[in-house]
Formats: sequence, structure tokens, C-alpha cells
Amino acid sequence: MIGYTCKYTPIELLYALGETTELLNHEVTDFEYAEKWTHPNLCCHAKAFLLHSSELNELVLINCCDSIRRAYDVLLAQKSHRFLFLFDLPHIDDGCGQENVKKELVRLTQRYIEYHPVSFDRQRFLKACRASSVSSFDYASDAFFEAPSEATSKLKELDSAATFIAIVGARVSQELLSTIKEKVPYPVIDATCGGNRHLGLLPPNAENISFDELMDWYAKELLHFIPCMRMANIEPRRALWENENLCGIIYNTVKFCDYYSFDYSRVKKEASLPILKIESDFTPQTEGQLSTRLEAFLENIQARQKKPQKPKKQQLRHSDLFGGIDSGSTTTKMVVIDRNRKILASSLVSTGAQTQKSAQKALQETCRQLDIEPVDLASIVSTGYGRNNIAFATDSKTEITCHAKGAFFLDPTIRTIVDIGGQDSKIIRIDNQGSVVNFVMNDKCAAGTGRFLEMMARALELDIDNMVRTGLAWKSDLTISSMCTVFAESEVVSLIADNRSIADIVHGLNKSIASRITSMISRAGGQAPYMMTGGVARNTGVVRELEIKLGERLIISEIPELCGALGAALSALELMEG
Amino acid sequence: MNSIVHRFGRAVSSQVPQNPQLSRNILAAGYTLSGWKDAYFGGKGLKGVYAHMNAAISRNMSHSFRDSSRSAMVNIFFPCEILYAMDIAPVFPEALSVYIVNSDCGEVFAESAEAIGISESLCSYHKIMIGTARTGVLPKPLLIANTTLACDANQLSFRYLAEEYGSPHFIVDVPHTVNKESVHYVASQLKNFTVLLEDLLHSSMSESKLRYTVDRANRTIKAYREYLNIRARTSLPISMTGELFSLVATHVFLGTPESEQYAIAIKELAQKASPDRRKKRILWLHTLPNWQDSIRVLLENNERTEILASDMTYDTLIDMDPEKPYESMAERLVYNINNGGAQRRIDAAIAYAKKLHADGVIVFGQWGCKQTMGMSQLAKMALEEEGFPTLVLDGDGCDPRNVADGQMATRVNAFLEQLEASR
Repeated sequence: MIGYTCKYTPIELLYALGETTELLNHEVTDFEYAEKWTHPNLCCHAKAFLLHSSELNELVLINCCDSIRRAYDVLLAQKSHRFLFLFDLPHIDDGCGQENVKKELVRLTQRYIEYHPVSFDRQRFLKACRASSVSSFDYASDAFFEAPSEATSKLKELDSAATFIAIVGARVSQELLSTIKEKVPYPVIDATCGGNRHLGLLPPNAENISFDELMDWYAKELLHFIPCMRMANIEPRRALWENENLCGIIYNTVKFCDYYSFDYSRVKKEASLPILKIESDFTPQTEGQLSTRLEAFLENIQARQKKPQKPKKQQLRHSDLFGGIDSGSTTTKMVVIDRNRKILASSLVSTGAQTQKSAQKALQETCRQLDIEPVDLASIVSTGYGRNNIAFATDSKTEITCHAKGAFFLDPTIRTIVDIGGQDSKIIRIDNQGSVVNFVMNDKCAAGTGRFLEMMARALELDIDNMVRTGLAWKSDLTISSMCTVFAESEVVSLIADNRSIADIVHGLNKSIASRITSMISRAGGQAPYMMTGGVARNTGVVRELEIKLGERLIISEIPELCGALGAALSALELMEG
Repeated sequence: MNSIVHRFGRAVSSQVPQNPQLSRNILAAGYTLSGWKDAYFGGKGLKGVYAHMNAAISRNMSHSFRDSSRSAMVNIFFPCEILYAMDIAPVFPEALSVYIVNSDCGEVFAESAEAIGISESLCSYHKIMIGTARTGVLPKPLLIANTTLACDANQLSFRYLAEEYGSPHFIVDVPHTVNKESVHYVASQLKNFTVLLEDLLHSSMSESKLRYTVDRANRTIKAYREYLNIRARTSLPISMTGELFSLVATHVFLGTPESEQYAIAIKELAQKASPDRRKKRILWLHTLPNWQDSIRVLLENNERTEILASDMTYDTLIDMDPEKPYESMAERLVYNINNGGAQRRIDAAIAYAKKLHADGVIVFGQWGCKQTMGMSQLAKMALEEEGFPTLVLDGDGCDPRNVADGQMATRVNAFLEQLEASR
């Protein structure tokens, strides 16, 4: 069994040499092993690969990027693989490039035969090449080579599907791919640089031509794959987002892989489809955040296809009251409106350890204010992290949709919503109808979230309210340059040791958060007027710095933390109105 | 950084969003002034040698901002002898970003690059260069050219810049395999590059001028190699900025009179210098964070330690044959120690650590450089096995936002204490 990690690996040739192959793109729980040998800032796929590579004795790698080249150097130094080959793939796909690929194919064949005396089996090679030419997408595998008819029918079914979703960008782990396939009600294809292999038709005389001529053809075909970002000519990548049956793109980037952020900017500019960007690091994803993003993405696709989603359960109750509940990581908020969209009651409780319990508490509090029973509410829509765990909700919507709806209702002139929550930050761009056009969320890093402020307040031995007040009295303009929360905390500790005033430090932190958020706004293509929602909107220091950085005033409603719940309540009303 | 530089940086940064042309003019004027000052009032000795090189680079920078119609944006490894033979000036990220950060205005450009979604983990030298282009501060060059040697960022940044500017883009594909066939492959591409340049300029390459330029490059390489040989037995108070000058002289400026004068002058200074047994001798791998005062205080101009060389200055000091200019330039790319696997670079580090009588080695993990960070632990293991204590120091040569300054200084200081304890 030969392990590999790049789509340019000549797996049909290895199959012809009697070998089976395995794509090594599984997640790991930690990077302890890889970081012992390399560095924490190496691409997370390469680090995960280093651990999995020890499961096999034979590997064929492509010099596809700096990180994989260094992973190869480590494996070479370890001397623990019986067969280790680095295929020197050119960056250019012209005649000289093809000649170089052919030389590498011949060199690989010779090296392998020296290691394991076998001969090149032409029939196996042709069989594998035929299997790899049946579909434009998904990587070929030994199973496909062995049962080409089954593979063909499966892939043809996919190719002829009415609509499908493509995962584009950097390698997606098998685990993440499976999760996405489970959660998305469309066929999903892997068009990342781990999949997306397609050979053309074999030459008519393939049975009879010499090995050299066969390798000429094979080299040309390998170089004609839809290119990955390391290749010089990336124009053919357009085929990935110009397919007319494609209804949405999930764009995957991998932490510390720099290739695909450039491609993403281009895809975002050129493709007129809903795009969801995710950043993975080859460790298990945070289930909640991934679900939120996928659901918002699907809502966007469905809105474009004008196929409104049916409510999960229709429970017609009282005809005039509609509830929205936003179960966030720090607080749970509830809003009740009437048919005229007037807010009648609201509540805000701490979420604590049990989502369901705090949701019940918020519901009871709101009902108490109106002197009604929960059953008097015609419908309730839940949103926020805990939205799927609220049993009494009629339906659920993501916080992206709900914040957009709530903010647009409060002020229809706004075009961008800046929501800084306890655990994540979101920038949502909407059009003049209030529909979501684009959104960006922070990734696993806490920088730019309410949590960041909480951690810094703890380092300064202040509570949040005190922190806000103290920061307004700054005198010396101080910059916290570190973008990472952990670095920033140590920078704060150093500044305290340098006797810098707490007010100046808080002001520096506010600037740092504003810088982070401004960068997200740019990525989302944010446009004025801006509305800020979420609890941090009450932090005057952060608001002021953000306004300076944007050069625009931020609209802040009287109920910034209730915006998501309000949007959910409006969704509950729409649900009943059909 | 002094208050004048700080004010200069603020003046540049504040104009970037609304008036990039004014920022460009301020930068061009600042570099012209700095170049003029150092050309005429540079001082003597090592200070004077550095001043002359700073004057040359400042002129280059000023030219990049003022008149870009005869400039080419290239990466640090690109063989610029071809450009000089056609009277084209190079613009390159390492100098551009270092000068920008030392003018205290790097942040606005780094943030501009990140605003379009470019990965935060991209090499900061490239990120700042992208920012200068995106903001409209750096004008459109005649063309963009890069090699694929060593660094993935080249492929990404230069392609992006070519699209952003709408400039012609040429890529020299350098195979990972180090052999004669690769040299021929690269040489043929360099010849094609000359054809492209001829088409763009509507003039022919003067083969004699190219040979002359390569001959000068060869003399520069010889002088610098001799300097390193002498350096093995002498002490010289070289600075981090000085090592960056040496990097420019042995790469992008190779083939210019300024580069040759620099190599000869620094060799002559080394000849006059005497050994200083008190100082701990440090071999440095990769670029140097010359903006960082806390590290400069520890490694420059003191009685405790001295930097011997950065491995980027000796990565390809091989003879060139003026009669075979393209093959010679191709050899310098293919046989560069950064090509063909980490072990070649590690072997070179061991050889130079022995030759220069180093007491210790610092491997600088430049933010975003997967090549250097990826080999850092292998280098540490190999160098320590040979008896050279090694510190892997993470940092950033041009973006303070990625640096934990106090922690870095503590680590360097502790490393020096470790070396001193082994006296």
C-alpha cells in the first residue's frame, strides 16, 4: 500500500506496478508529533500527514508546496520508510513541463522496480486510466479501478445531477467531507487539490504503443488536470465554478496554507453563486459553528432558488403572538412581537451550562411580562448556537439570517451588520430587500470577539463595565500589535509590567479589536450604513475605535443584543403568514 | 525608532486611503533624501560602506516610486543581470518591505493586503508589497517576473500583482532536482525572458553588455567569498541591517557597480580587522529583523557577541562564466542551497559554522516562511550534533504585529547566557 497526498500523484502507474494506494488526508487530534519534527506554523494538512505517514511503509509525494517538501525532508531524515519517493512536478504545463513529468514517471517506475521487482502491467494501467476518465470530479481510487462499472454509474449520476455543491480550495479532510455530505441535501463533490482528478481518453492505439509513448500521453494528461494553485497557469480553474449545475461553493482553506486565500478572493469576485468559506485545521471541527455556517449557506441557496423551506413542525397556537429566541454562548435572549411587528416583551438570561434550561427561563420570563402561557405563542423560531436544542421551538434559523432580518427591520437603510458576540463575530452584508448577500465569521481564534475582551479584562483585573469606563480616559496612544489572543495577553502583561496606564492599555485593546473587525468587514465587502449588534455594541470604547477605523458612524439600536431574537420572532411571524 | 521616523510613517499612513499619490510622493522624497544624505555624509569605515549601500538601495526605492516605466518587480532570487543589461531597475519585496517597516508605515499596507482575504500567515515581506500595490502607492511596473525557487509565496504574490496591475508576468520554473538537465531547462527559460524583455522595450539585448554585467557579478561573488574566508579569523561589528545589505549585494544588485564596490570594501575592512576572542560568534539563518531594537541591542555593536553571516548571503556564491551568461545564472538558481531539499541548506550551515568558527547558530523562523520554519528542527538537531548550540527564534522581519517582542528578547538573551556559560 502506497500512501500519497496530492492529486498529481500517478496512481494509475502505481496500480500498474501492482500496488494499491491510499490518499492520506485524515484529521488528527493534536500536532504534537509533527511539531516535534517541524514547526507549529507549518500547514496543518502537512502536519496531520506526517503523523499518518507513519502508518504506511511506502510513500510517493509530490513537491507540491513548501510544507509538503519539508514533510518529505523530515521523512527522509527519519529513514523509517522502505520506499519514499519525491516526484518533481514542474510549475509549467508546456512541452518542456511534459517532458520533465515523463522523466519523473520513468524514474519512479525504475526506482519502484528496483525496490520491488515487478513489471509494468499494461492492462492494469489501461484499466485504471479508463476508470479515471469517467468523471470530471472526485478522485479515482483503487475501488474505482477494480469496479469501474459501479464507479462509472455512480459518477455519471453525479455528473447528471440537477444541482450540486462543490468543495473547492485546499485539501478537505475525509472527516469534514463526510460531515458536509451528511448535512447538505445536495450531491457534494470534492474539487479540492486532494480530489478533482480527470484523465482524458486513452489514445486509440494504447494497447500497442511503446511504454515511452504511453508515458508521453500520461504526462500530458496529468499536466492537464484542472490545476491547483501552485501551477503557473491557473486559468482552467474557472471550470470549477462555471458549471451550470453548480448551485453553491464551499470554499475550504487550511490553516497555514497560503495558496487558497488568493484563489478565494478571485472566486468570490467571479462566481455569482452562494459561497461559504470555511477554514479547517485538520482537527475535528467545532460542530456548532460548522452547522451554523452550513445552514446559513443552504438558506442562501434556497432563497436564490425561491424554494422556501417548510417549517419543521407546524404548531398553530394563539394567532397574534410570535416568539424569537436567540440561544447564544453567553446569554439567551427572547423577544415576542405581535402581528404588527411591534415588540411586546423581551428577556435576557445567562446561558450557563444547559441551553434548554436557560431557554425555558427566558420563555417563562417573557410570558410573565405578558401574562400569558407559552402555549399562547403562535410560533417560536430559535436561533444562535443552541437553536437546535430548544424543544419548544417551532422552527430554527441561523443567527446570520436572523440578525439580518432583525437589523433590517430596525433600520431598512443599513447595508452591513457588525455583530460582535461572546464567542464569535459576524459581518453580514445585505441588499436593499434585506437579503443576505455575503457574510464572514471569525474562525476558531477568539480575537475580535467578546471573549477576547473578557480575557483581557481578566488580565487587567477589571470587570467589563469598569473596563469600558476606564478605557475612555486614555491619554497616550498605545498599540497592541499582536493579532493572536494569547500573544495579546502576554503583551498586556508586559505593558502592565512597564507601568503603562490601564486606560491606555484598554484603549490599545479596543483599537486591536477594531482593526480585526475592520479587516473582516473588508473581506465581506462591507458597505455603509453599518449597524452594530450584539452585546459589545454597548462598549463605547470599541464602538468609537471602530468608527474611527471605518470613517463611518455605526448605527446602534436601543436593543443591540436582542437583534437576533427579534429577527427570529419576525421569522416566526413570516412562518405563519406563509 | 526615533520620533522623526514615527512622524514620517504617520504622514505616509494617513494619506494612504484618500491620497495614495501623496503617500507615494512622501516616500519617494524620503528615500531620495536618505540616499542623498548617505551618499555624501555617510562617514568612514564600516559605517561608510553601509551608508553607500543604503544610498544605492534608497535610490532604487525612490526610483520605484517615482518612475516605474523602467522597473521590473522581481523576487530576491531572480537573476537581475539581464535587467541591468537592458537598463531596467528591479523592485523586490525584501527591500521594499524592510524600508517601509523601518519608515514606520508597514501596518497600513499589511492590513490592506489582509483586507482582500489574503491569509494572515502569508510571508509579511510579500504581504506588505501586495499592500503597496493594492493601495495604489507603488506604481505599475513595466513587468513582473519571479522564479519558483524555494518559496511558494512567489507564485502567489507575483501572479496576484500581475493581475492587479495588468502587467506582463514571466515565471522561471526552477526544478527541485539539482542537476545539469535542470540548469539547461532554466537557462532556456532565461533566454525566453530576454526575448520578452526585448519585445516590451522594442530593443535588442546587447550580448556584450550582458557578458560585462555577468563578469562584474562574478567579481562581486569572488570578493564576497574572499570576505567570508577572511571573516573566519577576524571580528567585525556588522549590523543586522548590514547583513541585509550583503543579501541585496549578493542577489538582486549582483551585476551593479555598487554591489561590486560594497563587496570589495567590506573585504578590505575585514582584512584590516583583528580577532576578538571575547565575543560569541553567531551564524544566522534566514532574514534578519533589523527593525527590532530589543534584538539589535543584544546582537550588534557590543562586546558580548557578533553576527558572522546570514546564510542567505552565501546561498549561491559560485563562479560565473561571462561567456555563458544564461547557463551561469541558471546554475546559481539550481545549485542554490535553498533548492533540492533541506539537507543541502543544513549541510551548508554546518560547513559555514565550522569555517567561520561560530559559537552558536540562530535559525530565524520568519513568519510565513514554511521553508525555514519547516526545516528549523532538523537544522537544530543536525547543528547541535556537530557541536553548535542552536536557537530556533520565531519572529518577523517586517511586521511587528506577529511578534512577541519581550519574549523574543528573553530567548536571545538566554541563548547568549547559554553560550557564555560554555566558555
